[in-house]
Amino acid sequence: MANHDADVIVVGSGSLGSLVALQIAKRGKDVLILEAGPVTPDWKITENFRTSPRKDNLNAPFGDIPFAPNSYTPGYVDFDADVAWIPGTLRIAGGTSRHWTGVAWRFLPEEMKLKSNFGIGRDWAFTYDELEPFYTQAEYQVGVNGADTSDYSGHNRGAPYPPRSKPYPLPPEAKPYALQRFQMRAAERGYRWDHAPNVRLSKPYAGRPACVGNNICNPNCPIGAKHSGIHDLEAAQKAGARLQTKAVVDRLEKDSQGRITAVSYLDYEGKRTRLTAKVYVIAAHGFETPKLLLMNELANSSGMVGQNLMMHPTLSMSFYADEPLWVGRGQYLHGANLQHRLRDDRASVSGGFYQFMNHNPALSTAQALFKEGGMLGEHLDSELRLRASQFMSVQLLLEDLPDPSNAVTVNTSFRDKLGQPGIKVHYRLQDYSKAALPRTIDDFANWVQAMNAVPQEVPGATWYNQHHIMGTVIMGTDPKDSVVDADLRCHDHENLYLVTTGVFPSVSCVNPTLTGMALAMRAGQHIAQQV
Amino acid sequence: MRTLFLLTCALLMAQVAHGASAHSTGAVPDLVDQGRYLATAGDCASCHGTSFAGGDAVPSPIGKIYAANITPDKQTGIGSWSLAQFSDALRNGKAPDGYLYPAMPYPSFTGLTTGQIQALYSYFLLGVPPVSNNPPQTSLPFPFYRPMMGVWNALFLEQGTPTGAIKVSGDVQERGRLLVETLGHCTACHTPRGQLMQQDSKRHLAGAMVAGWWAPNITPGTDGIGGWSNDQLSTFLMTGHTDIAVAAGDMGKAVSHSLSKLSKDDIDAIAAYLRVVPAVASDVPKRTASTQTSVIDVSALEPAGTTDWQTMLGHDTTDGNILYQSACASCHGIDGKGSNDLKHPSLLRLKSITGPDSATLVQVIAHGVNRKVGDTHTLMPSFRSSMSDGQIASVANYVSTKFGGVKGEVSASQVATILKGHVETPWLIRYARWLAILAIALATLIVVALAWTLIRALSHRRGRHV
Repeated sequence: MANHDADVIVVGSGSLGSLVALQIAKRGKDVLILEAGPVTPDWKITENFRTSPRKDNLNAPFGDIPFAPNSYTPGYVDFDADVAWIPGTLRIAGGTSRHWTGVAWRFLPEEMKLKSNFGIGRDWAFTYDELEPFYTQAEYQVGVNGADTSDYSGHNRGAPYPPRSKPYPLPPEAKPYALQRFQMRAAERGYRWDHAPNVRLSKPYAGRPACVGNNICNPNCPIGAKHSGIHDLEAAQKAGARLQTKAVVDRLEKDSQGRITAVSYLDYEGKRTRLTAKVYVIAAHGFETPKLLLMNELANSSGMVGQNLMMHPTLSMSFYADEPLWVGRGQYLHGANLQHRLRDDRASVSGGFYQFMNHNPALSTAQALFKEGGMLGEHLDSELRLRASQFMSVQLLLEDLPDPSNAVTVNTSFRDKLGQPGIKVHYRLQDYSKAALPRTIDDFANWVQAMNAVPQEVPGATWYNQHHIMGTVIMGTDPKDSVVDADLRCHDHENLYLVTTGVFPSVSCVNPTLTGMALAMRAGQHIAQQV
Repeated sequence: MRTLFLLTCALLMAQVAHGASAHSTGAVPDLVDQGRYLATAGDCASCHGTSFAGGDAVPSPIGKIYAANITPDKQTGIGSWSLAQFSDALRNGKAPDGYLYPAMPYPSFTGLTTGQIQALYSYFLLGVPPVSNNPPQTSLPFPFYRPMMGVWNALFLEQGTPTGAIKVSGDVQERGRLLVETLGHCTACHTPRGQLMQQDSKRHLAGAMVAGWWAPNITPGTDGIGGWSNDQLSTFLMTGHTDIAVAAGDMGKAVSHSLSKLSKDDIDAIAAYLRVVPAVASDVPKRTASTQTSVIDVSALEPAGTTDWQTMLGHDTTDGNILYQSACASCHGIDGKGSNDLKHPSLLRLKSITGPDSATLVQVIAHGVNRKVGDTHTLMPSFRSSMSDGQIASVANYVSTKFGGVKGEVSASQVATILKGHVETPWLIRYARWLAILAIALATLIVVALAWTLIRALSHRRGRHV
């Protein structure tokens, strides 16, 4: 066996890549992480956000690097979709979780066996019970606030669900005043608001301070109370993992048996470096991972690389209540209504959950006022103040199903400064998701009545999506219709692993990151045993 | 000559003490609770660890001194020590296997009574679970070998009297003296040290540098705690957090492990005693005043937004304005005034900013604050990994000048020195190795010369006889 540059090379220093590296490095193996972007500390991102005029652009504070474009770099993502948002992805040390909101749900056991339970979509290659210990490990690694008593299926059966082997590491934070008022006034119509587990600390944890309510969870928590991939990267480095930044990986080599033999990257001067390892991990999120595989014609005997894109179709709704609620105090997201998450009609209607949006409403109310026009001076000021105090908005996140025609491909009409191509997205909403609209309109009407409110945005006029990229390197037991197996190993390459939310065969309706982290913990333990 | 005399006296006294305690009984279950409280007041946990299994390094200008395992484990701890041996270690700095270094505050603990020693002994033998752990061996360079501490003790250890303790009257002040001078060993950090690391009794509690932190003047003068209200003093001791001071570093540990667990009466006794020790003026040069500012025009101190990726992702600026507003203002406010409840302190009031030395400010920016008192966990994050020495200096200087009202003049290289935990080494210690070699050479020369003279004299005499 030739001398290798490392036992394991991980492409991508985001939360998932770093957690895999941490798991492997902790067991005494030599891990090298390759990251396309540079290291930039949180304080610098805060500075960039404050001085940026593009406050509604999640990626803006992280810069447009011409050698490693992000998903908002003009022209990089060719987005052909009937949903509104290009998911914001980053190439920087710490990865896209540098700007995640920090909602840390677990999937339900039923949702991981969608095909078996409801006859639709696909099943995971293992059960919730097998993932559970890794959910717990991930929660303790990143610091999750949660309510140990909540039934997160939405059925309010009086016992915590899904099952957990250990309590949450941190208690839930208090519900903000606005949510308390909403909860009180909507309760008589049968609505319940649960605490939404999250990584915005309610108490100091692992050297990070508790949240003080700066209310800019995206793009960046200015005090590090919210977890980000930079914390996982630091933990991995502390455990001995090495980091090479400004390393844009574009090539993987394989031998006749399909084993990967080398990975190579370009630095920002265009200089190529070739490296070898026993095991290779691609942890480059749901866009870049399939792009890299497609560019190198790897892992694709099933033809599924890049296909089955799922992004959590989303409906947004908002209103002005008849009383000041002052949303924007505390963190971005606190409460969730889960009553439609797990219903009997799942075979025909997507599961969904509502999240209470606690963002500072100044920007959105001002934008609406300016659109209406006709207001100036003091009148404008007082109207803005009034509306900002009464504003409330809610998002419904919905499940989508794996469909090969919703896909990520290589965008060859774009070339970055290193000559690398961009990404092409094709996505169409499914009837399965759309079927949730009527009940959403009912709920919204109820809330408007309960709050004696004036509607601002009515659900359904625009379909949105989340910054969640799933399904693009799908997991399964059959190599003919999936890319990776239960251990996240490529069916086609025994020493190539894909650690990304792209492997999800079903996506629930809840935010995917914690599940991705649990997968990374699980894969890391497995890979460490292989080298 | 004097040394020899003192040494002889010390040995004789040690013999007497040894003889006396040999007749005492050993560990007594009824004394365990009293001993636990004394061990808390003595803050044994800060160095020996909360399990008392040892291992933490106590930095000194001579080298690292490792705290011993003081659990009752028979092999690696003190399980096989007799009460007399235990007493000898605490009061005389002499363990069964050799002399202790005075990083163990026996020059303070020497004030413990026989009854208190027995209570401590009972607690450590009966109330602490044994832990098998062999901490690293302390190995200091020549000539600071353990036997030399016998000489040090003869010179500087006043048996039965903690260094610097003053005569007081009344139960409260006497209790305060026990807690400050004997158990609390406050002098270990707050009193500056002389050429041989002995405490400078003329500057008792007047402030000193310890491993890169400034342990401030706690005497009652204006340079010390004279301006503190009783409430500020007791709140600080009990919680580590007031509007004018926040306990971090080793003081944070002392509050967490020790002071916060004492009774209010004992806290008041500590305050009462500190009010009557002689006030000592600071010998640190006064700092240049600056105008305290609390109105910050952010737009005037920040560049307009840019889209140039290298400017955006580069992070080597040493502009204190930008660094403070980006890294600190989210908690301490753009005007430095902190939060309304002062849980996030106002930087206009903190003594570590307005005080004579910037070392603690630098340490706190670099390492943050991480203090647990009961259920209250106070944490300021560390900026060591996200700022260079020069950037830490800029933040310290910005905060001092803008909010503290004193001109900040810390340089990047000073920050590096402070963070290394460097303390200026007394010249006698710095050159001790050469001085000792010189002394040995000189002594050898004298012996040779004497022998030579003797031989010559003898041979002369013989010659005469012949």
